[in-house]
Amino acid sequence: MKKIIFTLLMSILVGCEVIPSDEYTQPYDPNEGSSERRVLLEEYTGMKCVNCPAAADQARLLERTYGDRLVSVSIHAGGFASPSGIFTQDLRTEAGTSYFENFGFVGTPMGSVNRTPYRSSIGLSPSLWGAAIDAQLTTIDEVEMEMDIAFDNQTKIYTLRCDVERLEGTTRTELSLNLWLVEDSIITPQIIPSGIDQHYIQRHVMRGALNGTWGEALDFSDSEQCSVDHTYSLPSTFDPAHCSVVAFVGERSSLRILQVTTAHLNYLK
Amino acid sequence: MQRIKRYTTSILTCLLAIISIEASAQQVSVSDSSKTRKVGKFFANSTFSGQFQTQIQYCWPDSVGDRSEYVNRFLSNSYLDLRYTSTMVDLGVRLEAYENPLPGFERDYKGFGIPYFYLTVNLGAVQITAGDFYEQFGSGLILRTYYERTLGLDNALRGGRVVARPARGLTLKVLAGQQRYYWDHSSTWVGGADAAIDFDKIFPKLNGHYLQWGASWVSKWENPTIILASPTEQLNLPRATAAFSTRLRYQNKHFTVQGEYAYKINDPSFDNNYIYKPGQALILSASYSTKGFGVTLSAKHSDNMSFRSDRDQGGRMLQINYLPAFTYQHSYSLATMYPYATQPEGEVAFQADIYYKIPKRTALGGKYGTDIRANFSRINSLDKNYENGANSPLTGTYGYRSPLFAMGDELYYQDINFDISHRFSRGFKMSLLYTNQIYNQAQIEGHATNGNLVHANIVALEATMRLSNSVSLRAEGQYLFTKQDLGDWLSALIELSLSPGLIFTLNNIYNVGETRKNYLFGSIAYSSGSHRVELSAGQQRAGITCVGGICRYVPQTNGVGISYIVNFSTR
Repeated sequence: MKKIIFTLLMSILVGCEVIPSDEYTQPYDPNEGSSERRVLLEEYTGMKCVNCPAAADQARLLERTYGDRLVSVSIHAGGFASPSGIFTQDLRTEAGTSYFENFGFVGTPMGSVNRTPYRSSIGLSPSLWGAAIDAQLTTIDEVEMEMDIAFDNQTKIYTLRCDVERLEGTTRTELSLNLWLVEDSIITPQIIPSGIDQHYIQRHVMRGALNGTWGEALDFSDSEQCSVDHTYSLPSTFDPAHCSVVAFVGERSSLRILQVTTAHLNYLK
Repeated sequence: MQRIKRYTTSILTCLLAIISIEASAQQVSVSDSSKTRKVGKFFANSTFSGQFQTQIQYCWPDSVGDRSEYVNRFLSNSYLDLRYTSTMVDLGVRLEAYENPLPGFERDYKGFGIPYFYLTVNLGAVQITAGDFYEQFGSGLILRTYYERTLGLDNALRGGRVVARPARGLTLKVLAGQQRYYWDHSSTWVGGADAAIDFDKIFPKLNGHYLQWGASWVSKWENPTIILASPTEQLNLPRATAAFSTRLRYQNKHFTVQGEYAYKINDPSFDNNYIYKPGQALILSASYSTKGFGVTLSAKHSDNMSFRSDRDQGGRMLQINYLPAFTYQHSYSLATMYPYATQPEGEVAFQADIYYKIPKRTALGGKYGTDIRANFSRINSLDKNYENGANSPLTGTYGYRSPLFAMGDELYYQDINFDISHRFSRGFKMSLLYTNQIYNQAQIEGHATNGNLVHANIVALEATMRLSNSVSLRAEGQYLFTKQDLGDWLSALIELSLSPGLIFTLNNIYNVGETRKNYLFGSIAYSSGSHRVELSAGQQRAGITCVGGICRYVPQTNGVGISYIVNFSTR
């Protein structure tokens, strides 16, 4: 009996780790052990989602932490993104809704990091985004890509070129290129915990999939490199100063994203 | 591959049904043979029992909030529970099959397998369980693992448990395990112990007075993740988090008084914005009851008491503890339209419930008496004094301070109910419910339309008539008045019961306010012995289903369904 009580007391003592107030945080190096891979954070959100502004703040903290190595895009989808009442603007897209449904998401805020499961789930709550990004940044780089955009401010036509290279060691063969038009700084009403912010700034919002919801297949039959050229016209309602294109390469079967890049429309040309 | 999986799941579902029916049919012969068979003490008093349940649904296009994963395909949830018990052995297993999970169940459930099995050996004063098990310490403030099929919630622990009764009136429990997460298990280990003393069993002189004291401890051992406090700092997360509780309950013929206090050390989590403040909860309850009259008063303060196997998890999964909702359990559909979900970050709640039966053979009581129930509950936010101001980031800080039962200004939920029920004759009974609810939609659902607070008034009238010895009719009319959310709702239901065992139900819910949409739903249910089958068709509105303050969102559906359930036992 004494042994049992002793074992129990020891378990209770071992089961308590009180962190002193001056040790709540510890240093973090975002570059430790990382590869050249860049990471796409798809942040599913909605104007009527009260917890989404906090998720957007988390995305912003991650952007500051990881700099150019993180590309974050807000995708308005789900019930909280549907227009009603004062929320007249519809920021949903056909592609965004398809992704939301395809990955089986139910509510927002929700995010995915490179569409790669973290702790066996593709859909991640905002608190897990940092850990999932950290894990992705330390995986082997399998694809490299570059994108150039030329924008004609008179005709609103932009031409882009993507160069993609399969790196040594990758076994993935069926790859696709996805191109998204993203608009930043859209002002809309937004539900926040204290009520409604009438002039909330929606950041880096996905406005459409330029080459189809699931992108286009890349042809590596001749070499480990390939290039894709496209020309698009920017709708007149879009402000080119706030627009960019996000390009990413993913594996067609698993939908995992292997590399991502982004470029602003150079509207001064 | 997908097709093979689908067919395999279908075959398994059929097999489960066949096994169940077969076992049910054989119950008499097994029972007979077991009587004649001489068995040892280990297997004495053997009983084999089980239950099979399946629910299959087929949805039309564009009926489930445009979610294509549900339409034009069969969705089904099937369960087979098998249990063998004897004097010394209790062995159980549950098979689950989700062809495509029903609307509202997470896609993570898709598949089939055996997520639950256990073996319990009863050695008299000591009971040892290995495998999956459910357990609750006290009212569950620091540990409650349970299974709620309607919510798709199963947080069973897989590991071991020992329950010992070393002396009269003394019960000790020790356990350890990992919680179920869909088809997987959390990597976090949960361990705990509980001691309960029944003083009335130790001191027989307390005859008629029941006094119980209990104390519990639960810890979790969890690997830390990367949670950023700033671009150059991450949180120093505890690997071991403990919670303690103590409880006292006194009861005599008329009075019951009970209280439970729980404390949890620093547990930064998604639910609390990763603050280091300890959590605490206090539940107090007193009740008095006598023939025809009862009153219960209860109060709850819970502060930062969300306790999960995975600190980064939101929603309903991997909860180690249970925080009860102090609200009235409604049964009418419109009264459950705005159900309260316990707020994990904390709340202060009060509830009063009074029941009175107007005696028979009085002016108001009539021949059979009249039942009257009044209920009031109010739940507010905590009054929080933030260390660094309310608007500064919380992550990586102590957070705030909040004294016990200090109510904040924000109302989460208020519910005032008057329920009167009167039997006019042997074959005719009527009930009237009036409910006034204030529901903080922004806080509870994370969105709101036409204001954060929904003010709803609901009236429900129900009549039950026995038309003959084998025919009875139940009719229900409800109206919900509100200027918020989707506006007013109207509901009408008629239910015809033909004994033995046949029930026809037709229900229509109509949105009078914004959408002006009808949700017409009908069903035919037939029960015979331990079998029950139900066919249904029609539209069901999107809504939130709650059981005890734990909720699940169910999308709108339009289609047909069949459900079947059978219980079987060799005894």
